[in-house]
Amino acid sequence: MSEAEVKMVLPENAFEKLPEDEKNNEFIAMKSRSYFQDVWFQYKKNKLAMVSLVFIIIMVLMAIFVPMFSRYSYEAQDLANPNAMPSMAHWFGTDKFGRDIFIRIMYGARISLSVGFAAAAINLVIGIVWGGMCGYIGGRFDMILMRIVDIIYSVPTLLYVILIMLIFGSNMFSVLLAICISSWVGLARQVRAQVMSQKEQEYALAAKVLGASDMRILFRHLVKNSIGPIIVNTTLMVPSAIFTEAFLSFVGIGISIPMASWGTMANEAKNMLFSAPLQMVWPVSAICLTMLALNFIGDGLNQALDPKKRSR
Amino acid sequence: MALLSVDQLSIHAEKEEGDIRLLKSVSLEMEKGEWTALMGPSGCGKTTLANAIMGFLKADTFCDYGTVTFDGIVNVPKQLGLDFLENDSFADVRGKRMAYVMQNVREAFDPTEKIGAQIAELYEEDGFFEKRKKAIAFLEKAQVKDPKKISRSSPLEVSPGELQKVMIMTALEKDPELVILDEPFSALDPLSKEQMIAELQKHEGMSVLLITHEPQTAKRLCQSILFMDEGTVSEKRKTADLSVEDMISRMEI
Repeated sequence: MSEAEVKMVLPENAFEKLPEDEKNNEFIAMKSRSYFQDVWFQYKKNKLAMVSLVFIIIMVLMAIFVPMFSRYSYEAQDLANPNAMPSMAHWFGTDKFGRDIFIRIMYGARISLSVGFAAAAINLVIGIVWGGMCGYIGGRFDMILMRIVDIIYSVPTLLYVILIMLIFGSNMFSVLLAICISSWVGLARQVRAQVMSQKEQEYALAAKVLGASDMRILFRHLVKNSIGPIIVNTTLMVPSAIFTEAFLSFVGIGISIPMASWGTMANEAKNMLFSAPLQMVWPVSAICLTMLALNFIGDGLNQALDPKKRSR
Repeated sequence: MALLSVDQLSIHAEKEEGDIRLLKSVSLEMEKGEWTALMGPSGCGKTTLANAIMGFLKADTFCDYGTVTFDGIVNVPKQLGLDFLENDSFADVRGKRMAYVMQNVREAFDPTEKIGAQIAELYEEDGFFEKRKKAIAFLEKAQVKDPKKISRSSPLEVSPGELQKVMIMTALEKDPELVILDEPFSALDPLSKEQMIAELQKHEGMSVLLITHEPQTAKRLCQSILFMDEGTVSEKRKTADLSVEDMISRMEI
């Protein structure tokens, strides 16, 4: 095709100028967001996770403040008024000793939530330090430390729990110790795998070349870059710790009576199952709702932190 | 005595399909103030050699034999992290007396951190706000566009050219005696390239190992040229003896 022909194909009015107001259309881009702003933006889109988050926040606030201002306590008995149905005075009714169930649920929330969050926090710290060191240093050091992890992993959890309960007695400290002693190993393995893959990224080398110390590279750069899966794993550790505590208390080797844990309350209510079934409903639904909410939060975080799982 | 000498360095990588020899008994020497170009086809081991001089090996890569000596300090390259427990003789030298500009600039920055915060790490001894101020002053000196904005951006939002400028200036910040540049001008426009070359030439007596694919640049800047081929140094020549055409013909082997 010669040049003249090309000119004939394109008539003069084939293109027209953009009007003034459309000129900037392509320029207006989304405001840039930091990593955690972006995660929050994605998380907000997930309705179920948001509702769960609000539920857990309300639960935490109530667990802290309701026992402070309530006229009942978790152990004060009112033998004149046992097994009462829900009323204005006792919102959830009373148990066989006439203790207010609502306030006992709130005290139970204190124990369950603090066990859950404390266990997750302890696991997080041990898991990051142990797994991070293994992944970063590698070699024989890694080999020895990971074999220790394997040994801990290979002993059944219930065995630790019963042994610890025998030695330290049934209290919150020993429940926490029993939960923590075996559950950090999963996190340590995950952190190790993450750090090992992040270590191969060029920025780790670049930081080292500029003279940064190993501790700084490991904890400031490598762990920070693998924080997504670590956060998700930690969030999912909270409900599993709460469940373990409730289970231990239910079978009678966890928090001991008269302390009100959801597990001990369910245990006490099981004798009254046919005469006063509501007494069982309250602690069980508290456990169920909390577990569900925490799992939804973990799920929402998982989606928000992993770019591959995001919905557009 | 030479400032840098690499003595019969041999490195292999363990892969599933068998071992691959990345460097086969590589030796080289660099004098103080000497500019040397390192050229060769892709995959011939230039970057592996540069990493090894700084003292690093990638994962599943092992040093069989040989040493790197910088100003009398002898070092054997190791995988990152292993020197945490083993002796790292370059710990005091690296980042202060020898510097390295990496090939993949974008990956050489921590993707989760703002550029300003990463530059601020250079001034560890200063206070928080002092550091930030110095980081912006640093970016102004690096002649990037809109230093304040770049200081607040994540590395993924900035063009590789700007990152390359920042990277070169970071390497020069501590006034090193040796700087290794791995294709440092690949993303720069001609004007910025000249700026950066001028910045490099300001440091008198600094030795430069320049890995490049551009014969013109090598001929203009360097006194001698090393050609690498399949893990060996095949030839060392004075630049004055070679024409650009000669260099291109060697690159094609």
